[in-house]
Amino acid sequence: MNKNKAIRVASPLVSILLACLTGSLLILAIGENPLSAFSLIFKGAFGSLANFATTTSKMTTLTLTGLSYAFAYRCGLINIGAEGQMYAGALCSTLVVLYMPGPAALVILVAIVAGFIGGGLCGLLIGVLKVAFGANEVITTVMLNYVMQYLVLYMVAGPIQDPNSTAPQTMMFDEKYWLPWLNESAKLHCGIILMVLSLVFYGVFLWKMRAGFGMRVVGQNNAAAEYAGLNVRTNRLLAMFLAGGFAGLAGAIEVLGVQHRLLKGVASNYGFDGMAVALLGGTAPVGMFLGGILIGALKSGGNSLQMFSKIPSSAVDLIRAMVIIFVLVDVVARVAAARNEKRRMMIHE
Amino acid sequence: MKRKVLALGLSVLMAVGLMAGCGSAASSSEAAPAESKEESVAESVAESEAESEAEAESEEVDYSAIQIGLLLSGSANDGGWSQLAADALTNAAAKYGCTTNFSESLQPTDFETTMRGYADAGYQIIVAHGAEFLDTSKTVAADYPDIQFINTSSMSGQDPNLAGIDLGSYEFGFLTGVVCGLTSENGKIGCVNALEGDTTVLWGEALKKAAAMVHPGAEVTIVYTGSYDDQLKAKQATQELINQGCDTITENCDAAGIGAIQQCTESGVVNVCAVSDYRDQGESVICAVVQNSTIGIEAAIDSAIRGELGSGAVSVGAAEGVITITDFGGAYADKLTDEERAIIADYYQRALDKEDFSKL
Amino acid sequence: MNSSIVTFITSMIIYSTPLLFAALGVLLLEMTGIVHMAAEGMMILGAYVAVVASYYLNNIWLGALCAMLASALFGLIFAVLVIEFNINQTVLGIAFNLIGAGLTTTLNRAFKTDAVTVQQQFAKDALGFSAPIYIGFVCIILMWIFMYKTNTGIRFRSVGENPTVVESMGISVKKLRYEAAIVSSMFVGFGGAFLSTGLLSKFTENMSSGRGFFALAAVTFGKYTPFGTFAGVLIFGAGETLSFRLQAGSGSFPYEVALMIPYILIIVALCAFSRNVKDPASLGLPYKKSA
Repeated sequence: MNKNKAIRVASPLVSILLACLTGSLLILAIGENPLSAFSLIFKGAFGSLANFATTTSKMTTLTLTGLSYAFAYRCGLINIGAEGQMYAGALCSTLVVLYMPGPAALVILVAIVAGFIGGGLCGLLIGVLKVAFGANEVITTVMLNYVMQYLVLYMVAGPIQDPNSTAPQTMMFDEKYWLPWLNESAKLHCGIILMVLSLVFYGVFLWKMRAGFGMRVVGQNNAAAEYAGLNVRTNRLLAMFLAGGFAGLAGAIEVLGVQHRLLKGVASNYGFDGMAVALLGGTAPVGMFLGGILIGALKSGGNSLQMFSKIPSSAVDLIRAMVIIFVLVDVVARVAAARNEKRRMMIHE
Repeated sequence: MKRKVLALGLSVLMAVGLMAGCGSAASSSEAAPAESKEESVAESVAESEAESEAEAESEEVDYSAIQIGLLLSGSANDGGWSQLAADALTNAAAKYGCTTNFSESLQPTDFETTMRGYADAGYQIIVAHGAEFLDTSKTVAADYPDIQFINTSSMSGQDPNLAGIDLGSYEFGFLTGVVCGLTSENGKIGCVNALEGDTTVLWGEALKKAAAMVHPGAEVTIVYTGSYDDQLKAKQATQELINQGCDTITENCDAAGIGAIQQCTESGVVNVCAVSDYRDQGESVICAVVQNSTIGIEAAIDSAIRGELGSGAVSVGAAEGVITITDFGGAYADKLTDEERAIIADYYQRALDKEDFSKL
Repeated sequence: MNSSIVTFITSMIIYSTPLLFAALGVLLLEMTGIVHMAAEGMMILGAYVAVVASYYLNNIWLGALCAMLASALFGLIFAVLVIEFNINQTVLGIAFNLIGAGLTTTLNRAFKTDAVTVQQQFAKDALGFSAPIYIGFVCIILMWIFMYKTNTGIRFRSVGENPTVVESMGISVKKLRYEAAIVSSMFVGFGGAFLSTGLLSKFTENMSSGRGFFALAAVTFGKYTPFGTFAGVLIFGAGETLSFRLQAGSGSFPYEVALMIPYILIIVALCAFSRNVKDPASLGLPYKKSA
């Protein structure tokens, strides 16, 4: 069985390599040098401690929004609303920091919890609409993304705008309300610990606890779940609350740890990229961790590619899409599986 | 076989429609209005001045080791605001042989990492295009005292190394308002914007003030579409403004504004084009009030390269050739009488004389 | 009738036509059990190809045809990846949207096609409707006939419900889904073409701005029926028109709130009409032919 293990490790690597080859052709077609382009991506993602910290912070957010998708997915729901829920979480955290008196450590703690609850309520709303009215969650989540985006825009350009600035953003939080640094000079914040804890919770809850087992049964087969005496509605509501909660947590970490203020577009694109992370990782905890690293690195590396070369950001998006597709197609594993099948059939004959 | 035909039945219908349409579709008779090649005097003068100045400079010292980075929050191909700044960078690269790179469509969450990225990579000049970058510029500039930072649309700099350039947004809005106010007959002016931002708000205020000054009782209605990319929304918003009785439309949403111009042409309403010169996009455009930030940014880069920029705040405008009004033309050129054109010319002259319209 | 109501309705119909074609395409593919998240990418591709082809062929109908063919090719690749490789349809859709936007932007810059303006326009009648708008109406009816009155349509729907049963009747599920994917993409592509050349005359990057997702929403809202889908499209169109009308009518209405209206309207409408909706049972599930 050692060979199978080797295939499992090698397969995604080959997929990424293939994606890089396709990307190279694209870069050649634009008239740039693919080797220097990929070295820029790699350097941008991991080249220095600061770059590594950026990648880590992107990966933290992405894995959490991925977790949001995964929670709903495991309960048979499709949550495309991580972006909106992230906005909700970011907004709630910000309100706590801006208006809550008390010792800083307590404020941070409450802000994180508020972010989780804010996102969770946003998710719960989707769940309620689904359970009470049968409203399809794919649509309500997409629509709510837009609503939340405009709500945050309204707030940061109006009621909670920084009085000293005309930009759509709140004032910078006092330093004591920032998430503690793991490494201050590199701007590496401790959000990644929260993210890992969330992944652990996800794994333990779904695979070691009764409630999580019930949720997975609901996800796999509604009828069977009802027959087994599980309440489909309650499970769905809980799943959507948790899904929204983790996206909200991502929003809280983004404002408390990275931006230190709420600004417009704080969650933009994290929803869809998070879905890619979740599905690349097969909605399994370790898989999503790795998927988060991959997409996070591509995002921060892609940023530096467009910064230091004439390759437009649209080409960077194309490369990202290639990586997603090739990893999903998973050529090596497929070839291996086909071979095994063939061999089995031959033995059979 | 029958099954197949049925399966594709719907597309067949469309294909038939296409074939039938080939014969009957009205070929366009709406030729674009003859584009005036003449540029306004001020513009060409300013350009030639800038060029000759640059030639004199570039012969003396070798600047090819200099690296310039530019941060854009929009697309470098937006046919307006961001593209004009990217053009300035291209020009600087051609003029001095230095390395230039830009980052486009940046999300606010990436402002700081990108700016620090250029600084850490040893770029000597970093240009941030738009007021949305100002806070980031101030923070990052403080950490890299040896690098020259430039933030456009800013009335303030920061010692010792952050220069602010105001690209004449107020003047720009004011002159647009003058033209709109005079063009409009019923005093109802519609304006299509994308998102509320620092510069667009200032622009809108100036627009309202000027329109009311030259056309007492004039009302300006601003509609936001939420997008700099979506032409259709701009077009739809324009139609709603026209439905509400607006007889003059102006737009400040970059390439999406082309949709607004098209609706004006279809509805027979005058359009005063702002930011970019889109006179070739429809006969409804009477003239364009151009904010050519390329010139302003290029000038700032020039003095930064010579090491003379420092931390001041520079305000540029019509006098520097940044704000220009194109010639009048299109289908509704006669909406402006000679008298009204004289008023516009007068205000433009006052702008050239550096009069501060915000004090009026 | 009040003229402002007439302008409201006509403008609602005109501006939602691109969405209507996209939604009909999404409907066709979803009824066979494939989640169509890639409509956004196909639409922007259609919009781009239509402008460039119309310009060089000097005929917008031919341009639209090219847009349909390009989308069909895109849809074919999508179908191969979904049908042969059983890739998760949702995430593949997202990847295709990235490709659609990335590819058109890259090409637009490489070939400087942002300078291209299509001069020709579809002829319009007194209401401001052009031929494709009427084709849209006809397509709704034809789609209904196809779905409920033809054998192929019934098979399409049965594949969405239970592919195994259809396969056991000796019909190739794969082939059916390929057909659906190609024809569906042509609809979406035509929607993109009508957006860029039918209502406008120029391509701008990302000009589809989310319409592919609204198409998906309209289909689900319409309970996977053609007329329901049309209703969904109109509600969205009404919300959009309303959001601009409110802003144009009163200067003080907060624009962020006005811009939320179409989205809130869809959510409310969805809640009001969603009882007893059933997705195609096999929607999104991988299908493997048992040997």
